[in-house]
Amino acid sequence: MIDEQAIIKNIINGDVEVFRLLVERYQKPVMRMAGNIIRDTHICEDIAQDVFFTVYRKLKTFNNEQGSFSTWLFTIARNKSLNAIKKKKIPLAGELSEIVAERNSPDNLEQKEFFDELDRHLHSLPRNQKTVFVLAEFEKLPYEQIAQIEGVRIGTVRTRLHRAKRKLAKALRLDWEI
Amino acid sequence: MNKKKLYELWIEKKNQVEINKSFPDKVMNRIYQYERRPKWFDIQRLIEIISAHTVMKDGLVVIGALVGFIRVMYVITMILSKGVLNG
Repeated sequence: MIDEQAIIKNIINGDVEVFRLLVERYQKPVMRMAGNIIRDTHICEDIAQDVFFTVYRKLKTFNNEQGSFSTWLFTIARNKSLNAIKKKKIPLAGELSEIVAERNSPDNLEQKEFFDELDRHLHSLPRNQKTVFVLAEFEKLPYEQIAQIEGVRIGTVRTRLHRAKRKLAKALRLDWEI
Repeated sequence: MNKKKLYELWIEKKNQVEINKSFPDKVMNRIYQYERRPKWFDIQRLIEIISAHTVMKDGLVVIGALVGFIRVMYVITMILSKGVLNG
């Protein structure tokens, strides 16, 4: 695997095509993260495109002493996803349930209902708890990196995640800790 | 299936993502289009440069403050000179 710093250096020096390596490397996590924050797969592709375009334009401003490239990229992805929600680019609830059902296509009804319920409760969480939950549970990022992305302390990340999990467990009447 | 298993399955499902194979091409096309733009006056680039440098931002604020101050002084001078003429 080619070193990220070398790739970035090449892009800044004018080798535009090398940027494709970064897109191929990070397309999945970026798309997944946007998808899990806003749910709709069509919009999340637009957002992911926007994320990479912004990353390309701002690459010169990236400073690896302030954090890793992935942290910087995820921060942009997080902000773009939240902005999309603010701009109300998200589809209506009816359309959403179809999208979720189509994406998950669980075999039995119990699964489907449980997944729908989990999705509904996840998306009803406050934004800061939801993003922390997505980054920790789906992206499996360490607390330190999440803290950098969210621009908060590690303790705040822990608290938000704990609250999000507690709310989900309560809403789903789970008899165990998530 | 118990809820714990279902929850784990949900997390697993959420980790799966289908990506259009043409996605990197779409991104690269957009970037090449951006690179082909006329560069003689690029307002977007100018904003990026200004926002990337603290000195530039400070300079812009100082210029803005100066222009504002000059305008206020000009208005005050106008009012005073009219007042003097009328008085």
